[in-house]
Amino acid sequence: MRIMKYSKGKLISLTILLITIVIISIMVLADFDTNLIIISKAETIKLPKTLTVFEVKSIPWDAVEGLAMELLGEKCHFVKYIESKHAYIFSNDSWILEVYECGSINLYKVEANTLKPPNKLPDLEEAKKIAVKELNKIVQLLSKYVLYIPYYYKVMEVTAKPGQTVHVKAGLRLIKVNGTWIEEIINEDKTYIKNLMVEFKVKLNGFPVIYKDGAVIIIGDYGRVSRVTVYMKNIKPKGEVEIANLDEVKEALKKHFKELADKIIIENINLTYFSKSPVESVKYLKPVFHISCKIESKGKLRPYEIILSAEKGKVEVILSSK
Amino acid sequence: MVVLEIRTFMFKNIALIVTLSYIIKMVKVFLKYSHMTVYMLLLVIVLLLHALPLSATPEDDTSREALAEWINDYSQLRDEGFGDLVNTDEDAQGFLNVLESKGYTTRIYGDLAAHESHFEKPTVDGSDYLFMDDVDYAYFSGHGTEEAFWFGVNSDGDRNFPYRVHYTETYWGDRGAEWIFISACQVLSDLHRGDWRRYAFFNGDDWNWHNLWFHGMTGFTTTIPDDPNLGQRLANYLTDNWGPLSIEDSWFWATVNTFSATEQAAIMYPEIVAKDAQGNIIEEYDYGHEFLAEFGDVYADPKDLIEQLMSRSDVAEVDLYFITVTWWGCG
Repeated sequence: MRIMKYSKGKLISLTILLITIVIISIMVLADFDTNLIIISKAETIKLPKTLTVFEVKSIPWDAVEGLAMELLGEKCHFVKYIESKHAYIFSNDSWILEVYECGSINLYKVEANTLKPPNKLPDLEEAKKIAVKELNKIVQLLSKYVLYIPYYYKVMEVTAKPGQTVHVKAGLRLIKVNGTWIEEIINEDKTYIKNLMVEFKVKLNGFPVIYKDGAVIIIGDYGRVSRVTVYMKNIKPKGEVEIANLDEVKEALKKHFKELADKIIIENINLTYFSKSPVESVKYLKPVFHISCKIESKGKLRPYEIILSAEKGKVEVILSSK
Repeated sequence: MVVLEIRTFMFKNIALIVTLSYIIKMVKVFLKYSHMTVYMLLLVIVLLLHALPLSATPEDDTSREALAEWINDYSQLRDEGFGDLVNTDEDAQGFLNVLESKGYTTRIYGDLAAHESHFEKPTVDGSDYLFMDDVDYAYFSGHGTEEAFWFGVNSDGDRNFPYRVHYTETYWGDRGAEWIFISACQVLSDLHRGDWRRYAFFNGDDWNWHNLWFHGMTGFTTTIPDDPNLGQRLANYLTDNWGPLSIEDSWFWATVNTFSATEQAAIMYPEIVAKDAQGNIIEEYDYGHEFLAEFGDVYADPKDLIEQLMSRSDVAEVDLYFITVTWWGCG
């Protein structure tokens, strides 16, 4: 009888323990294995086992000065160094040159901002030709002073599109007639393109570099170049990292969106390098997954651009759209 | 929050009346006025003090102020498809830090303390007159959609558009605000740009220039990444850290230096053109070309400027346009 009594108590305790274990297991499983559905519309990509990480190296003052002299000519003078921008500023009579410590440059014309429409913009094909010629000239100069051009970069794609576009919404006209002001609504809405933007996307080790890399050349009135921005950095190989597989990517996406979505529709997935603005102090260029997706929540769809680190075992969101 | 604000307002007025009563009592003692005269005097002073802000122009005081609000925690908006963000605090703080270092008085509210009502007009039970419209420049960092920018908590006064500042809930500049910088996706996309103009600038009565106090707004037509650096870069270009450049140029360079060629930035502002009797342009004011106060030219509020131009004998025509300039990032 005594044994029976003892066993009954034990049984109750055991049952409670078992129920607790089951509840905890359900909670844990729910956390790791959500009902989140992932639909992939993206093309299958072939992933390499490893990829090179690049270290960003500062360019020495001699190179900075040499570049400035060649780009701005005789009238070139040093204006200042802006520490928060990691940039040396030079100027001549009509251009400003920013040389960033990482080897990127930004060369633009000093001109008053005007809303006047241009007289004659070239067409997109013409703009591309002008820009390619200009970039070749600049890249030739850059390659004398920085490491990257001859070794790592290759222009992948050249596209031209409208740059700054002005939309004028009319409006109200107040006119004085015999000393009295009369109001009338005017309907002269117009949209015009101020300049054209030619974009050069680059490849590093055969993979595109995204976010802040490549080059942009702005072509203005009569085909004149008004800005050259080369965001390529001075880089050197610094070891290899193992690349994660797509299952790890999906798990990371599930984790990121688990409380948010019923469904994730992956529209595009790419293995790329991720490069930040030269205004920041950038240490490395590392491989990432760039994912364009839509998430569905209670029937509503929202677009997201996600950047995930691509290193095996360390896949996590680096940047997500707002 | 609204209750608190009303209480503050009441306490301020009670304090004002008590103080005035005391002063008048002293006057009564020393000058021996009758009770009736003293209370009439009290009534006139109170009415005058309340009437002043209504008849005068908005409160553009000389001290410069900026406000920033940010939201990382969107846990209450999962059903809307909004995930948490991680960099909006740094983004907004970066903007204010620079301005504060240049002598601006600053205020910042984040997550639970950031409220949609701070940006909404009183007619929809908002309190922008104590927050966004009580400063010169405002900065918002968080989620955005074409018709609204979004907050993490619901403080909607009239319950029509909870968790968000919908364009119909805005009317800015009637107290003191000049510009708002919106670091959020899509708020200036083609679809509702005209609506933002109609409400934020004209209070729903399109092209009624008597309502036009606000100088301009910036934003994006596309989605943008949750980048921590835009605010600081913008403020650097607006001030003598990296500039000073005009507001349009500052937004241009800050966005070009931050975002890639798939993200499109935008700025929207009024343009006022004065012409003589022959139709020649005498003066032209593009508000995007003004500077941050203390760093270059700041134009009078559009309504005041139009009135000034209309009072001049050499001006025979004043035209009002709205300009939106868009451009892509770089890289």
